[in-house]
Amino acid sequence: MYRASMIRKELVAASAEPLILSLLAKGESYGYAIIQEIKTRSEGKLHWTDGMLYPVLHRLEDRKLVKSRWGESETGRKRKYYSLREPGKIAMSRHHEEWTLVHSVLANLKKEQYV
Amino acid sequence: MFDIEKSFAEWRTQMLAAGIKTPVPLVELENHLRDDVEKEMLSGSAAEEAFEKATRRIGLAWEISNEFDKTSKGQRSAKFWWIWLWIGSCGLAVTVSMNLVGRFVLHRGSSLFLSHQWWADWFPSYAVWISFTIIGSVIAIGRWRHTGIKVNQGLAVAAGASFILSYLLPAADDESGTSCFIECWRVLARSGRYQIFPFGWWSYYSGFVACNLFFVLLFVAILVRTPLVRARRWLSLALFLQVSSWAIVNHFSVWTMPLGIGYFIWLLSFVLLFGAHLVPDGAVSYSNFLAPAGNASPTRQESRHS
Repeated sequence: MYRASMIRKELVAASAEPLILSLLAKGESYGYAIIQEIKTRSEGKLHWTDGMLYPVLHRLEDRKLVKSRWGESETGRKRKYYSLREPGKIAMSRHHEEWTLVHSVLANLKKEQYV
Repeated sequence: MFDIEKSFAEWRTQMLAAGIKTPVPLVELENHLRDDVEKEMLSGSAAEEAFEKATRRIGLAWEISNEFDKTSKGQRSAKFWWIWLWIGSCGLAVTVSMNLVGRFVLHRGSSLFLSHQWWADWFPSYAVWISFTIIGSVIAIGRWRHTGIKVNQGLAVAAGASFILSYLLPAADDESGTSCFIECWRVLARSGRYQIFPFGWWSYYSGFVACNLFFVLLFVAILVRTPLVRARRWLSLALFLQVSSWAIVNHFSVWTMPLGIGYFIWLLSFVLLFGAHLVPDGAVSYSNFLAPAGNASPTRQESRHS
């Protein structure tokens, strides 16, 4: 999940939780769909080793940030769907605040370099 | 000829051999792999090539297994400290019960709290079990990731438990903590014999009522993570100083009374509360949760396919 070609692995690792929580905030989803969505949205620059997503999802579930239910895919296969719990929403908004702060500090510093 | 079902079976065997548990998460992983293979085949790849690409993307069995192990190791560790805390609490409860039976049922002199013989007979047992309980509660609650409880909240819970316990135990002159608290309320209200209490002493004893009320507020403040961190820190220190001053005042005053174990546990609860406000409120920590995984997986994965 943390194999990064364009973005460094540390940043990929740090962004995994906020990205997963933010995706689940849009509605329930399952592992494969989450991976595909991240690939599409990052235009392939954010590479995750697919199998590593599941330990992270399970940890989020253990921490009661997400919940899961078993359903069926269109092909009849069992599929585990994850959705956000209330503490997950709080954790997500905290992530957003933190990342927005980091972004704004960086943006301001960059702007000052060109003034 | 390539048999895709046979390949799935071999992949499953590898996963099981690496320690991936079934049905969860193996079923989840296998269905992910099947989804990926199907998508790859729809985009024009042959079955063998699709399977090869999908297994590469899903990662190595031992890597995934290691990641799951980290979660279960954390759970085992948390469980160990909860058992530790449970043993400590039981030991403390048994010691307190035996001490109370000795004091109030059997009327043994050695069971009188803080008497000369009490220190020799009972203190070692109290010291062991209280240490056990405090260490267990701080670490167990701090490591309990399922709730996201932090170390400062663990300290606050330990403080709360000590605070409640102190009300049940003899605090001063064989009076329970509850009786002492009621007495301080009487001072504050200037009821009965306290009507003529000098202002200095009135404000000093009323301060204990304030300490108890602020304790509850500061306890809640830790659990709900309110702002004003510095103010909370100073206030908790002030409360601790006020509570600890009683031991000194009592020692030097003309009406010295024997202090009970309840007072010391009450004092301990304020030490723990101060500690809880002193520990930085760690918000969400990436390092606890993700960094180890980030370091573990990429190198081998990339080296395998480079």
